[in-house]
Amino acid sequence: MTDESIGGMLRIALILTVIMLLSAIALAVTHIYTKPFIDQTKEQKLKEGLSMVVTQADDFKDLGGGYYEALLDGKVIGKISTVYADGYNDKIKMLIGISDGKILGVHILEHLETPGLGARSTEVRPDEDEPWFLRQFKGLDSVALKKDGGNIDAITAATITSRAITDAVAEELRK
Amino acid sequence: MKTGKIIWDGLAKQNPTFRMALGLCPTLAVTTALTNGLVMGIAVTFVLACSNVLVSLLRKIIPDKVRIPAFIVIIATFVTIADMLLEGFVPDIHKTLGIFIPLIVVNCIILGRAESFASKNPVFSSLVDGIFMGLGFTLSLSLISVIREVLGTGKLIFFGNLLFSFDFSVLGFVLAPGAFLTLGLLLSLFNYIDLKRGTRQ
Amino acid sequence: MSLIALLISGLFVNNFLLSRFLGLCPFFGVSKKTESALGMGIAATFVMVIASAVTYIIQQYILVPFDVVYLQTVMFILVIAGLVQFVELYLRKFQPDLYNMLGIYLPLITTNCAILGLALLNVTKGLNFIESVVHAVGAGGGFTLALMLMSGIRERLELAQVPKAFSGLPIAFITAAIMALAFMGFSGMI
Repeated sequence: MTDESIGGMLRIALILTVIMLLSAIALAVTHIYTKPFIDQTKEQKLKEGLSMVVTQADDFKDLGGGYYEALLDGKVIGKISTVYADGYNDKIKMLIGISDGKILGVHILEHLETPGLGARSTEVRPDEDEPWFLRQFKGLDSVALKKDGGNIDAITAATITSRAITDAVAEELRK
Repeated sequence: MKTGKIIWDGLAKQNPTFRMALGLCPTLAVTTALTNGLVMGIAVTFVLACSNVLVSLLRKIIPDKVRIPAFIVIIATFVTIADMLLEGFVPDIHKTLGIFIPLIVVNCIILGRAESFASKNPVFSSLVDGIFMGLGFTLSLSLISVIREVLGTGKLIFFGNLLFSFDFSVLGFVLAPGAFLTLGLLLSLFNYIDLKRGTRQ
Repeated sequence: MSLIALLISGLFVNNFLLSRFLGLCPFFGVSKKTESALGMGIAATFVMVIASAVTYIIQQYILVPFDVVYLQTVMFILVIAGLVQFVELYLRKFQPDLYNMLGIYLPLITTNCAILGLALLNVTKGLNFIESVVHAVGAGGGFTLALMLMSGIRERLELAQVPKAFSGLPIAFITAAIMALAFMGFSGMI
């Protein structure tokens, strides 16, 4: 231990502090630069999601707290809420649009389900423009998986994901 | 050290995945689809090249005693930068890779190269080493991803474009057991090739 | 999520090694002897519990209030590295018996992704302080369990006649594949 002297220790501490300061500055700069992009892509995904849920709307009003109103010519034609379902791997973040106790549409914003299994909840068949699993919900006033005596086809081998989404929709309908 | 040798070491002779069995966690966790494996590999390459250059530049300034914490701060900084860039430009893939992006910090390949190569070699060699070790890793990840995605889902998708598909899939390959099995079989294949080559010489 | 569900999830369903792929280096490196697997497991669990508590405090009382969440990775890894050093010093001074048992595994733990992974998972799952600590106990227990099972199997594999190309790592991976398959059976538990 040769540089156990006060000067040696100070030098070491100084160098480490400088490295950490530089690191913090570099990160702050990157944060300021990338933040607008991150916010913009989030907003864009939300907008796309909202118009997938209520296709006929021409404008949306943010009510705060994850709630939105779908507007057509200034009239409210449906309410949309952000809902989290307990998926197989993690929470599934979805938008559910409801009008007069009937579902207008369901859209998944974020999920971490297994590819080939739960992730098929967002699978779009060729020549179609929306996921086949979520389209089943449109226009219904009560939902449950066919396995549970209801009206929704589950995704093959992904019952947990299918049930999580269906239960979340059913819960929202009851509100 | 010759540049050609550094390149060959990174891509094949000391391939981080198949030769050194380093950085196993992301190798198994994110290789469910080609796009994920590829993006992960590129992120690691970026971090590896940047941290190698900086470590090499600072190798005479950083006191030996605090070298590991200093390296960790440098690596963590570049990892966070990569994290923010991915979130800004490829948000869906960022979400899928999840905590495995910040976990690049503890990927043994990166600290290993900083410690065993960049802290002893000049800047240019360190940059080349970082890029090609990273590419070696990317190549391995892509290979495993392609096998798992094709066998597991019967499809191959490249950044949202369907390359091909057929009516056959063994779901297990995209699940946890398939990850271990694929890597085990690939490792044994490389061993087998080595053994064959060894007996011929 | 209830605390018991969290514990079971960590131990079996979302086992760190066999389902989440976190902390694999010691799984294939250290786990050839059952005793060292146990030592590594206990040391890791110990650090996991402390790290979960400390990173929770840092996240809630420093990173979020000051709006510097982007420093999370840097802060967490530094805290974990410092913590491991501190635990090592403490054990050497005050618990020499425990130090003799776990000491050699501690330096390996800093760069083990199970610790940082757990800290990050606690944040993304939005767990509170108690939940984070319980999650750490479950995850550490599951880590130890899988490590010990693997070492038991590998002790016997050493004596088995394995095809040459499969000897060493490849057969360990195939063993892990079968274990992961078995652990998938737990997935209906919660």
